[in-house]
Order: sequence, then structure tokens, then C-alpha cells
Amino acid sequence: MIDSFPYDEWSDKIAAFWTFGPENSTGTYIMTALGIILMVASIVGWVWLENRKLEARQCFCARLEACPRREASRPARGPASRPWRAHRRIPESERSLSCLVNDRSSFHPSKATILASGP
Amino acid sequence: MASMLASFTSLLAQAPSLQDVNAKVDLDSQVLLEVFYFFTVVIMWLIHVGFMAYEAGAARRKNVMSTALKNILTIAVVTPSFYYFGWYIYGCFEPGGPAQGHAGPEQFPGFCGQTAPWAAEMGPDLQNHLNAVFFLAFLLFSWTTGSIMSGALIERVRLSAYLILTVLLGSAVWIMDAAWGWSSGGWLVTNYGFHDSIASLVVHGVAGAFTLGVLLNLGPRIGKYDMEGRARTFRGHNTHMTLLGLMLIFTGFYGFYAACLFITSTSFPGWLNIYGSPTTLGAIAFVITIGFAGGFTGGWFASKGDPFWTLSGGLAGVISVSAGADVYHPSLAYLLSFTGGLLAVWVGTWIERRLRIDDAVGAVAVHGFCGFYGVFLVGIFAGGYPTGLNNVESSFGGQLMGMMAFLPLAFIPGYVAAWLLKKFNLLRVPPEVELEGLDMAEFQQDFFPEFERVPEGIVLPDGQEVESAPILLEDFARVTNGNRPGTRVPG
Repeated sequence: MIDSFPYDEWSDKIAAFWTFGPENSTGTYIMTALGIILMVASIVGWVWLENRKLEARQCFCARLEACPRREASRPARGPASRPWRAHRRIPESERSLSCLVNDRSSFHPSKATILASGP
Repeated sequence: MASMLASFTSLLAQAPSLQDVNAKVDLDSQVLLEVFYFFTVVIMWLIHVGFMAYEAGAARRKNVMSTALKNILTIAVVTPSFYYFGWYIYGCFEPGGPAQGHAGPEQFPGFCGQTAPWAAEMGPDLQNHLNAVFFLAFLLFSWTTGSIMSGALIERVRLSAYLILTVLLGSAVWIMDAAWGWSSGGWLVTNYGFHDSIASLVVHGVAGAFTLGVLLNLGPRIGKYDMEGRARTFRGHNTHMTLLGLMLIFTGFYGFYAACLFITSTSFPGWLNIYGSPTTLGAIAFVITIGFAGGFTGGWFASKGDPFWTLSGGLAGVISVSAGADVYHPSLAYLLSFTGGLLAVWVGTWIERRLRIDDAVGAVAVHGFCGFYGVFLVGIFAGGYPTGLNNVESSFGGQLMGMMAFLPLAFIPGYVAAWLLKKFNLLRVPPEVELEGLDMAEFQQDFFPEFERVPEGIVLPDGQEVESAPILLEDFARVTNGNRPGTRVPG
């Protein structure tokens, strides 16, 4: 019967159990310190990685001379990635405009049209 | 007869003592509270689902995924930082700074000591059913403060900059003000009777003020303002998604409001607000619901039927009556929320057109202004209500004291942190990336691959909608050439 289980006894033992020792022990301090290190490192990593991506893409779009060899268009890993895009080379002559307005199919400055109620 | 008496005596001997019954009822009461908070947390997740949809819908097609991922990664950074630092701030900073001991009620002795990451109460402690879920409810509030800010910054802020700012806001700034003014022992409560029962100011207002400080450093999106400083309007890629997001936020708000109360029937007679004062769950739910009604109405009329501002007006209405939701009569809440909806639209328009601050979703007006407005209203309409451990009567002066304390507490850290990031060139994406769209730089792909790309539009100050490319390129040239007008467009 479930009500005959020694719940109180288990309860005491389980309450005293802690993965790395009881509260305020060296083990819990170490785990806390490691967690904080991971947290800080991940934030630093986000800053670094994003900065690298943005600089590379800016360089690609602006046709700067000193672009890093690592292309910004290298796709991320994962099922949402589209690897074909990594190999799609945009002709040099189209680079600036295609990057800047993100409208490869239809944009040309002279084609700027009034969409709604313009003259 | 003798056998009956013997049986009765035997039954009495087996019956649990009154002490045992009390212990079991007490345990049941704690478990009930644990379950209650657990489900408020589940419902509050919808707020973040909603913020993600809301902001992604408001972004242009080229920025959809970078906007959405910002909301998701809020969880990745605020959760650990709130666990390691934020909860401790809430537990130990009630007197204003860190203190030994705790000024809380006798039912929660030594709360400060229970909030450290290595405390037994932060783990699987069978003797304490409250702390872990109480922590989680507050954590969800922390995510909310980050999400309030995130919408305002979309389409030009760096993801990493946003994550740093949201850690500061979600795990330090807002929880500090919660310790001061949203706990029964906070110094603003015990000394001045500050009353903000459902967090008009401590969550929304503070997040809005912090966001304003960030926006002043971040600057507007390229193309937002013309040479005369008149505002243009960008078209969000999916307004339906934005409205769906807002409706999800509203649904989550019921969990948010419920999580601002607690009940332990063996210790207290019924529902209590965050200050330990009695109220009912029904009263709170009533005020939210009629607050939405008033806010929608005000937003609709002030914006002349604009769908985005109509729904934002509902949010503004609720925020305006949240501070006094435990004491307001529903009719009063209806009237006040109507004014909140009206004011949010007017203030949002003023911020955009007069102050020339590009707040992409009106967060400063809806959350910031209405958060402060809600606390201000309590001073007028609920003055005299006893608040906190000392039962200090709430008053207009006490509410003003809270507003004066929280405005610099929120604005200055937001401004300074954003200024520092800007100095290190880590706040904003490069202009080339901003024009192309953040998704291409961050993820190297368009997230609507099967849909043909049509020219991006922009609404001019006179209401005409035109193709945006020439305008963006012209503004890009100004930005990249030291903001000088008339510069030749590259390409």
C-alpha cells in the first residue's frame, strides 16, 4: 500500500541529498562559479562571433580592399541553412547595390516607382 | 455495548492528532501554492511567444529572424544571470542596499539567505515548496522587461549588445526596483506606502525608461527621418502576426497578474497582493479585462482606427490600471484605462515626431509612460489604502517618491550602458548590414525562400507609400559620409 511507504524517512534522506554536497558546501560554490563562468563566456562569445560576422558582411557589401578571407556568406549549420547560398557568387559590379537594398530582382535607382497614391 | 465502546476507543487511538492534521493541511496549502505558481509560469510563457511574433511581424522581411532570435536568446542570458545575481538582489536589497537579515514577515524569516544560488531553497528542497516556483515567476517578469525593450531597438541593434543590455535590465535594474517598491519590506513601501500592486511602474515603467536611455544612443533606423526631420514609416512585413503576438501577450497577462498574488490558506485568510494586503483573484481578473476594453477603445479613437495602435492601446490601458488593480472599482478601471489608451497613442506620436526618437513599436509610450501614469493614478484614486508591513497609507507624495526613485534608477543605467557599447562600436550594426538586412549577415539567408521579393516600401510624412530603395540609399550616403546631405549615392 502506498500509505505504508516510509515517506518521512525517505523525505529526510532526500532533503539532505545534494548533487555536490549540502548547501553552502565547497561543491555548491564550485558549481556556482562554473555556471557564472559559462554565462560570462557565452556573452563574450556572442559579442565576438557577431562582430566577426558583421565586419565580414560589411566588408563584402562595401567592396573594401581588406576583406578577411573568411566569407560572410558561409552558412550557419543546421536544417534551416541553405548551403547553395554559400557558393552563389554575386558579380562584382552588382555587389554594392544588391547588398544595400536587398532587392536583387527588381531594384534599379531609375525604377523607383510610386506604389500607392503618388503622381 | 462493551464491544462497541472498545471499537470506538480503538478508532480514537488510531485517529491522527490535531497537530498531524494541521501539518497535512499546511502541506496541502503549500503544494496548492506551488501548483498555482507553476501554471502562472506556463501561461506567462505566452507573453514571450507573443513578443516574438509581435516584433517579428513589425520587422521588415529582411530582419525577421534576427528580431525573433533576439526574443528567444533573452531567455538564454536572463535566466542564468537572474539565478546567480538577480534573485539575490530581490531578497537582500530591500533597505536600499545589501543588508544582513530580512525585513519580511515572520512567515518568511531570513528570505535574503534563501536567495543565494547555493541555498537549499534553490534546489530540490522537500521542506520548501514555495521558493523555486516563486523564483520562476519573478524570472518570467525579468524576461518580460527584456522583451519590452527589445521591440523598440529592432532592425539596427546588434544582437550581442541587446543581450548585454537585457542582462542589465532583467537581472539588475528592474529587480532592484522590485526590492525597493514591490516587496512588503521594501524601503519605499515601509516608509512611504508606495503602492504598485501589479507592477505598472516596477516592470513596465522601468523597462520603458531604460529603453529610452538606450534609444537616445542607438539612434533611428536609416531612412526613418527626412532632411527636415519629419518621420517616415516603415511597413512591417506581417501586421497579422504582430496583432496575433499582441493577443498572445494579453493572454499571458492573465498569468502575469495571477503571479503577482499569492495564497497560503493556513497562514493567511485568502489572496494577498505582493505587499501582503488582502485582495481577490477575481477582482484582479476583472480589472484586467475591463482594462483591455477601455484601452482598446481609447487606442482606437486616438489613432483613428489604426490596428496596431488599437491593440497597443489595450496594452496601455491595462498597464495604466495595474498599479491599483487590487483596489479599483471596475468602472473606475474602465475610465482610467480609456485615458491610458488615448495617452499612449498621443505620447507615442509625440516621441516619434517631436523628439525624433525611433521607437519601432512604441514601447516607451505604451510601457514607459503608462507605467508611470499608472502609479500616478494610484496617488489620486487610491490614496489612503494601507500598504506593506507597516500599513503605511498610500499617498500622492509616496507615489511621486517612487516615480522619482525609479526614473533615474532605470534611465541612467540604460543610457550609460548603451553609451559605453556605442563608444566601443558594439551597439549598432554597420550601415551596410542595416540596409541589406540583419538576417543576411547573421544567418546568411532569406527566411521566406519560396516567396518572390517585391520592392520594399516606405510611407512618406505626407502619407504616400513609395519604393524605399532610393530613400534608404540617400540616407545611407549621408550616414556613411559624416551625415552630410547631398552626397552622391554609391553604386
